Amino acid sequence: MMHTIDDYKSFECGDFITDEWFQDWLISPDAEKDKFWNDFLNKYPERKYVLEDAVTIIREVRSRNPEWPDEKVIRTSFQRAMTVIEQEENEKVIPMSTHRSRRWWVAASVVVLLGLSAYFLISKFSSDDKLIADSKTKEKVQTDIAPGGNKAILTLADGTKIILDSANNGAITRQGNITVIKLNDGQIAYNSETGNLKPETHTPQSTTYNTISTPRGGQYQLVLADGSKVWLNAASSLTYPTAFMGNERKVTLTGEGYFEVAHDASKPFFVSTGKMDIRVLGTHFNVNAYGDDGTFKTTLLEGKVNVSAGSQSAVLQPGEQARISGNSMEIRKDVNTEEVISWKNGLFYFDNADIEVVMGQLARWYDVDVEYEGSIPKRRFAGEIQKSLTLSQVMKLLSQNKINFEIQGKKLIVKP
Amino acid sequence: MSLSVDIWEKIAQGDKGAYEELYFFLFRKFFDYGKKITDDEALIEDAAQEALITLWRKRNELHTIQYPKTYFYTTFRYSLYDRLRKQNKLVAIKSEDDRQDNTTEESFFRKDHEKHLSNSLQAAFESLTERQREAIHLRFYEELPYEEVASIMGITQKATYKIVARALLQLKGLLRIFLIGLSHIQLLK
Repeated sequence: MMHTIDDYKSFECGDFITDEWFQDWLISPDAEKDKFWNDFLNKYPERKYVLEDAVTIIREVRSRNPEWPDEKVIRTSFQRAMTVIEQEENEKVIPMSTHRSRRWWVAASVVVLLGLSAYFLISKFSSDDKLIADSKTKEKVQTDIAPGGNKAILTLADGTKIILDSANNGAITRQGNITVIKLNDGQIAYNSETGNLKPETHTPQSTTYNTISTPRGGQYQLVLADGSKVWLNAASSLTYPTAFMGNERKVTLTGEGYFEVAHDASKPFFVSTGKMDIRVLGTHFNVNAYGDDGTFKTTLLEGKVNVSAGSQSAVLQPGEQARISGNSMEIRKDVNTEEVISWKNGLFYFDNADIEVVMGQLARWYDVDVEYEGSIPKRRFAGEIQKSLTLSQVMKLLSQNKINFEIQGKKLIVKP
Repeated sequence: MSLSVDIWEKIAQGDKGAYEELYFFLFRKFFDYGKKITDDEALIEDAAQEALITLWRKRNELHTIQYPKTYFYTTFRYSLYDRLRKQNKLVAIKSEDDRQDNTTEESFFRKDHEKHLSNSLQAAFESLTERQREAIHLRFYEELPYEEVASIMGITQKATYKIVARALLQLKGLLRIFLIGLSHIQLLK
């Protein structure tokens, strides 16, 4: 393409900086280009300031310092690469071209580096994309902490405790005419033999209460006598009657739970927590009463709920969240409900969360105590992490955001 | 920092010393480039290593590749994006701007706040989307012609002009504010 100086006579700053030929001059100047722009200024001296302005901006844009890694990082990477390459050459293996085999080769280099059994590592890593990328943290494997799982303790009305992760499937206990059944998938259900009878038509009996509590690192799902489903997050508990008598269904929650309440217009369902009470007919909602950041939250996914705290109350529509902190209640609209219930779907999900909220969730799932050392930079986090990762894998993701960690036994120390 | 003139030729002949030189050179380049796309340094390092091992494996085909540098930038970029798609995403808020169009103002404020940015140019760059940062990087730091930027990013040349132009106009606005701010401060002194 030919350029003439006349093409540029009415150019403004923005026109210059976005012009390829002008950029080329500043990126790779030579005598010919210098002459072109000198000629331009001689012919159109009034454009001098505009041109200078444009030059300043492009120079400014180009003035940034490169972001280079430590020499050590390159050295280590090069040595690993050479290990892979030399192994390929020695074994005269033709490199395979699929993605899977590439991963295998990276894993193989780690094998040599750590001097561990090749068989063990390859079989372990080839099944897991994540670990390959984590080659740097492998050395720390011994001190790692595994994620939580399905674990809970069922406390019966008489105080008997049943550990649910070890109990056999099937009927695990009977209380009056209620059978407690542990289903194949680990959840428990209550089966009432008089379930179809109206309360007043059979012999009234006193309501018995059970409590399910999850430890740190545990979560659990249960089905109540009315068919309502409840998912309990880690370090939480639910106290509920084994059968719902009378005109209402009442349960007490600590920690966090997600409810899918079976519809029964004649018997409203109540969830009470220390700070807020929720009244529903039949609907899906999540209650977070951990109070990590001093806030208790109820989020509605479907139907309608009434939330009350102290003297205040509000009716939520789907997608709304009631937030109670101190004595005030705030209603947020258009909440990301997927995020709110991500915990039950195997994810940590953070959207503009501060470090305390992030650490609160990790502490409960990995059963560690969090300590802060020095002044931690005020950062906020967004993103999601699979709850199946080990603690050190999660730490690695977080440390990319300039926050450092140390695991000491069951203690997680956060450092600036 | 520059490469030996016959480096590609030497590598094609199996010269490991030349490979080491290129490894160090391109690793830095890839890292710098990768940082415009993500803050996840471990991921960038893994992608760079993979691209560089691929380079050695392909040394016999180097003579058939017209622009080796561009070719391996493409390999690196592909590997990095592939890893980004697969990994668990946890990022500091600042790289979320692409996805939060409706809250741009708020997130820009947050970003500023988070990073305690001392450097206004850095701040201006942070306001760009990942793709804008990437295109600006390839054009003005790697000094590639639009044609090659387009080929690395897998988009048309026209789209590349557009991305670069929009980014530059945005940077221009922000740098202006900065320059005005500076002269104001100098007047106060």
